[in-house]
Amino acid sequence: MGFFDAFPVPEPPEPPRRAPARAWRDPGRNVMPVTLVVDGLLVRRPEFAVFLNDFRVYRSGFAFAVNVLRKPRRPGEDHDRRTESPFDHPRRVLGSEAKVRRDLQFGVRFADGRGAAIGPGLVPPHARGSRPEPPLISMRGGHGGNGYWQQALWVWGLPEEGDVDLVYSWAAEDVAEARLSLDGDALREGAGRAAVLWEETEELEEQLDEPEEPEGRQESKVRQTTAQQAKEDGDAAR
Amino acid sequence: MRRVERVQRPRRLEAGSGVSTAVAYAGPRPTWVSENERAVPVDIPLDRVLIDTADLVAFVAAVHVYPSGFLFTLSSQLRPTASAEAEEAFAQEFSFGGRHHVPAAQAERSLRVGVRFADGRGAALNPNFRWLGHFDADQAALPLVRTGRTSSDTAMADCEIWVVGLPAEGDVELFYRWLTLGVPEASIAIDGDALRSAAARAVVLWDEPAAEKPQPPETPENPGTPEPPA
Repeated sequence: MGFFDAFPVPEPPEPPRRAPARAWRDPGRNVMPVTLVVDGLLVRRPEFAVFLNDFRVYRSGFAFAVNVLRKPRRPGEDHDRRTESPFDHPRRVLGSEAKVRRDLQFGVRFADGRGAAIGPGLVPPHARGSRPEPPLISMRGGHGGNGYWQQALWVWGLPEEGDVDLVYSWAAEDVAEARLSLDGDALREGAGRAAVLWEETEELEEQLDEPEEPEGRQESKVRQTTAQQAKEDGDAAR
Repeated sequence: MRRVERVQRPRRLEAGSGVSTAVAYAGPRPTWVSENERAVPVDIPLDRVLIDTADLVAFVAAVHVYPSGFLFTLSSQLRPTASAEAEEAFAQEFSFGGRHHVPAAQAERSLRVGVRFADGRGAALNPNFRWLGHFDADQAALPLVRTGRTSSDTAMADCEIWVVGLPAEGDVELFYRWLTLGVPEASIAIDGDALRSAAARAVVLWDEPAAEKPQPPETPENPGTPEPPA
């Protein structure tokens, strides 16, 4: 018996089961999106710029990328802001609401008045254990460094009528609240053309109805500003 | 013969030698190296399925056009019904480090991507080192195909692919092949007029930063910058 016979190689584990799609969190892998061309240069300053691109329309919403570019620092400048991410995870915020409101924030507003926002401290409803209603805006993948930062956002829900406003502000950089209007007809037309690559199984569809478990991470002092939440607050006040 | 701009990389300080050998770049970088850090691209829709087999679907949505080239993401998705062999081939393709020292014959069968311009010039990713995004001035003859970021798991992969250089005339043919997943060589055309129009509309926010001036090495005659008083 050789030495290594005492250390048998175990059978490999079963491959992880593919996580079920949750429409409010992810557009799903079984859909090929349609590109929407948008002139998305939101802010252009001598030292930095913010622009949106890579608009992808899915059956149940749309995704896009927020890009922040910073100019290389000049000789003599000690503080290199190129290394600071302008995107912070909603659950990682420990600062005051006043601080949060100064950070880069994004929101979406439909023509019927429904809306949602994302930014530091704005915890989405499903992270608090309740089933969300559209629209909902949430973070997907992001990366950056050395003056180039990118964060993908996912907007779940499309209005039946009217345009969609993307609202943004970045008070810390003197960017006042403003909006970019997206053509609602183009969004709806794109959603109709998004191709389903394969049908999800019934098992996965059933799991869409299960609310996510609260993840028990840091609670924020600022809540998700959805129209649904505002309605709940109003009902509670009455 | 095309002139190749060589870049001298800064050398590290030699610990313990007492002599700083830090030297800055000897020449300017090609401007395309930093375009994604200082330009706003223009998107053009491609929205094409490149691969559609029983195991795999791969597509390209938008093409992001910069002044000197373009960037796209090849999105690959294994179908839930993919065979075990396909899952294994997919995993090997994107496992970290698994691509760097594969025998050439094996690498030839993995995912390959390349472009050809109407004037006959072309380029393809090196199948062994394609995931390394390091700039190598020795490859500065255009067109050049290189990779950006790749994110993947057991069933999906999004691979950013840069094409540096734009043709003065004609379309760009995008070639691809993935023999380990049963995909023979195929190609699609990317509209050259749309690429050139978009490149002209891309916004350059600021110029490439000037190269730092080389610092003379520290010697007994030139002790360098004195330490500030405590």
